[in-house]
Amino acid sequence: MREPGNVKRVESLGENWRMDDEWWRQPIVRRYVEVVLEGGGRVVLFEDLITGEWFVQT
Amino acid sequence: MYTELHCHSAFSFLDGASLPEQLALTASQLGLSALALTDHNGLYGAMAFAQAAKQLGLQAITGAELTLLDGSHVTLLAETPEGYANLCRLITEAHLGREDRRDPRLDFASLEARHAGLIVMSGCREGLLPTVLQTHGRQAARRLAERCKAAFGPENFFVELQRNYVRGDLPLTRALIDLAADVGLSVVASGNVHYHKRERHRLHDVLVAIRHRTTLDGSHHVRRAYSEFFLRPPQEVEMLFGDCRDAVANTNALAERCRSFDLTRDLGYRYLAGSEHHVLAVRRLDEELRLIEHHGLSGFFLVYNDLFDLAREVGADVRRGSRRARGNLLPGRGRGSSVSSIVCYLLGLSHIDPIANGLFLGRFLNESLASVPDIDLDFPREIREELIRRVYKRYGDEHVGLVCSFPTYRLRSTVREIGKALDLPPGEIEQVAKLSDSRTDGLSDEIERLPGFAGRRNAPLWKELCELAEEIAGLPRHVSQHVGGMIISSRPLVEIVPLERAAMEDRVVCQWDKDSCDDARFIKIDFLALGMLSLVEECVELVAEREGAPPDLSRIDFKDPAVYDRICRGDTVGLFQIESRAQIQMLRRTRPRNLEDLAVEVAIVRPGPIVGGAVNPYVRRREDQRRAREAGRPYKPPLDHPLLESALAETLGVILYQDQVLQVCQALAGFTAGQAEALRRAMSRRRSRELMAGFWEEFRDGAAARGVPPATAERVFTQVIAFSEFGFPKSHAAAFGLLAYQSAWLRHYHPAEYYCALFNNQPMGFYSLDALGRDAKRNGVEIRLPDVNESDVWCTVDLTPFPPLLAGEGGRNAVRVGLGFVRDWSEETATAVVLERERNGRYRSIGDFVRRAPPNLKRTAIEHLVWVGGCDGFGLTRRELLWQVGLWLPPENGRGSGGDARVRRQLELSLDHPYEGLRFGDLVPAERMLAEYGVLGFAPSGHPLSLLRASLPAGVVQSDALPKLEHGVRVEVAGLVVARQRPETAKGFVFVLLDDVAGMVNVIVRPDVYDRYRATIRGEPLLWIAGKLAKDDGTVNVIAEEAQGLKVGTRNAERGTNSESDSSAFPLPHSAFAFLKSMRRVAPDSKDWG
Repeated sequence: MREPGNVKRVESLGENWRMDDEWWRQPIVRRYVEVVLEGGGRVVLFEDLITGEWFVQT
Repeated sequence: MYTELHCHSAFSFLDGASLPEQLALTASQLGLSALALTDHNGLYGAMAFAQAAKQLGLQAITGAELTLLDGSHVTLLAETPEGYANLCRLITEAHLGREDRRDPRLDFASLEARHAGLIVMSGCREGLLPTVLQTHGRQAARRLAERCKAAFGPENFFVELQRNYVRGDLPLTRALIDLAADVGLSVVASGNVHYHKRERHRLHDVLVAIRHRTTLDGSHHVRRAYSEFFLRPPQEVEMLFGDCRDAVANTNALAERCRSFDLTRDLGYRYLAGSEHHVLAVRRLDEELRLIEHHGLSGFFLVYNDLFDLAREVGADVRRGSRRARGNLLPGRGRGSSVSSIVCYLLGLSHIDPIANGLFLGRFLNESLASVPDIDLDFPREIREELIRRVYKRYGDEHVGLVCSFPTYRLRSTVREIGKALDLPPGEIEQVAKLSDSRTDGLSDEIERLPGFAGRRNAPLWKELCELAEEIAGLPRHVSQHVGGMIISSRPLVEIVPLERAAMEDRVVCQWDKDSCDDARFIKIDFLALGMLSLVEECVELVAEREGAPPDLSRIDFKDPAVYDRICRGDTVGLFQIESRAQIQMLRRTRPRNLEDLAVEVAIVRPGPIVGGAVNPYVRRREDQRRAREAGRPYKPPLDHPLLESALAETLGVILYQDQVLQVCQALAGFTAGQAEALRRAMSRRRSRELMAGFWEEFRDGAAARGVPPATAERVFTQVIAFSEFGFPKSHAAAFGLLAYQSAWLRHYHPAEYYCALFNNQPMGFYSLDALGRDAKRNGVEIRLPDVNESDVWCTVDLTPFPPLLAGEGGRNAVRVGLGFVRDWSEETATAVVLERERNGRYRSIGDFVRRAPPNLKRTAIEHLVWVGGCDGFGLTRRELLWQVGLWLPPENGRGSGGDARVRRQLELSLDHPYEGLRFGDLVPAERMLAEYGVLGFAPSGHPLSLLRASLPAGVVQSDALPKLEHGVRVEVAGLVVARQRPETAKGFVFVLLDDVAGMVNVIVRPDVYDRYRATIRGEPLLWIAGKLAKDDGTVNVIAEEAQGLKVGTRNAERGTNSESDSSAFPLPHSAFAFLKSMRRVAPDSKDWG
């Protein structure tokens, strides 16, 4: 996983889940995945299934 | 291979977004071999699901998800017939054992005690084990799992695992897998399905918001922000549970075990043993008895015989002491196809001789009968109520239940509920709901046409409203009670279908609607309350009171020309079944002269014959037949094919009755008895059009084999499937035709008694009391205002001499309106006032009345009586009376606790009041009329237009002048709107019935004119219409070209009008303009359809 100035290897993938909401306004459709990074850190990433972009959940 | 064992349909009310049939079809398309339906606390959709699945070759597993006392869930599947019976009992207990009928819950101990034949699964995320695991920890969950294992056995209790891409699924299911392994239990995968396809998650979201009475935005905490609860392809589920293959394999193992119970086969509903009292008398009886025996229906008829005996007892008890007890009245009457049966006739279940009337048996009983025949019985209301109570007593609570129904979303409720969930502006939603037609191509088009809403259909949220409205159409909204269907069972009903409390106290409904009950081959008895029978009872009683003996309606002259003359003139307002606007038009053209003709009248203005194009040909041929008879020529009606002669000759070559549909298919296409029976069943079910259309190929091939040209076959089949719409069997039409005649006979010979009973038995029929009152007056019966010293609680025939209304009439023909009709009076207060009068003499003055009236009769109620002349007999003007009421009784809002204040004031009443003698002028006619509308809802004193006559637009023609004008001339008419109809069968035409001083005017509005004046035509209580006069063979219509709310000058033009500043209960109109303005507010609601 690359962040500006910081590259870490993904150790394993955890649970993944999906969200569909706000379809009546500005639809939110996301696929989430929990990632275990080298060194034990955990982050949640999600893919915006409308635009195809990936984000880190903060 | 995976089998879905946890699935909710729309019968998990407001928590499932697909019909059982949609789920079955999708499961079949996905290649599933079985599917369980597990709705919340109910089996409402189970039978429909099982039937649909059977057609698709899919194994239907019957189950339910029950809510336990702590709110957690448990999933139950019926493995065996015993398990199914236990499931029914458990669900029933969950419903009947609770204070709040809307919150069914089951004690876990009950499940432990009654689980034989059931497979128990630990439930969803809110299930038995997950709840304890997440709230009390692993040790508590382990203890519970061990308790379940001990109670149900490890082979019957399964730990349920659900993975729907919800955060937390993975750790939860892994913890459950570990728990199961520790305790020695098996796991099973399930999908917790709530809709058949992903796209339906939007509707599911909306349903959840509706359930919580909130908006989508306000429902975040109760809604799942997911779209993953759809019916998933089995391969996808196998992948999801790749780490736990046992869970998937076990779904199949459980489905296999559940094969030993099939709801369509193993319900265990039995009929009583056969009768030994078969009477063999005539060929028809032999035939019926043979068929009855062939289908094992002897017990069925015995139950009916028993029930009708019970009804006779009830009828005798209810009528005991009354004069009509000697009137040879039946306790009730048959309706529907059963009237064609001689067995029913001999048992007393029908009152029409099926042989003399040539009634076709096949629709009721035939060789290939696939479901139990229908016997529908009509009763007067009070007999029906008592009979239902006695049926419970006779057969026992556990053996009787009412049939339920599932009202579906209608356009208005759809707009309101989804609109609220989407948080659309309430004012705009209400506007759309009120002005939208239920007969519409789609909400989207409808919104586009509404004034001020153009372009909205593509706007955010409005677009979603339109789309969701289409998806929700046809989904059940809630459980309701069928109009009269009751199930009786020799085996405890509670083991066959779950029961729950009905909205009415002391009644229980079963969880199946009439189609599911039919599929289950239940004996369903329709006890229907028929208002007209109550009316007839009362009318006969009133006649007996006046004349000393009741008329025997079974022996009146059924060919009385005087009665038929009035019917042929269309003078039928207030009569049974032949009073509507459309019926009156038909009567004037077809001119019935006997009971058989009346049966046609009853049957012809129905969607089946209308859609089948039978009406106009019948009317034309009837005229041709009449002319031929007058000329002494024989008449032979044209037929689509000579093979149809025997089936259609009596109805002049068209299909008018449901039975003829079967006869036509047999005659033209050689349908076997089995095919005809299948068609009969298709005709009476939901989505009957699709089902009937499915017979086309058989029909086409059968007709071709008999040499019928394809075009003829197609034309006739179009008429056949038109009967997917509502139509009558001939037997039903004959039964109703007879009652129609009896009502006409009673009205003709005993008009005051008839109108009196008609008023007392409202609501019924096509017209408001206002319209009925004016019709009474046109027929020489005065409707007199209520009077504190003359009126009873309800209306009575008034024998007090009175100036005649019409030359030579009046005096004897009057109805006195009862005190119970006055606004804010109840039956209780009216009864108290009448009893006090009977005990202690007439009321002598307004002060005397106020003093002696019951304490719970409020000042406003007394004032209402004064406003409509109820105290005129005291010799004061109504203003003076109102003034005096004000002296004796303080305003209600200033009285503090009502009872004490009343007692205190009563002490003062015996003293003379210093201001008692003040004099005031009386009300003017306009004020009186407004008061009558405001207090009674109708105006016995006259028609509002009679007060506006001088101010009406100059060109307005009165209804009685229309027949004298030329066809095609331009006319203007005005009147009070009595009814507005937009029948689905009328291709967008709207029919408006206006009432003016002289009578009624029928206005026809073409679709383009309706589009132009939509809001006016739908909303105005008093209309002005300009258009062309259309006269055709006795009928007179106005074809509207322009429409507007009636106008009579302007406020500015007429000085002295100040109704808004008038603070009295009824504004004082001093001008036509002000009167009309007030009239618009108090005008009675029209009867609107479509």
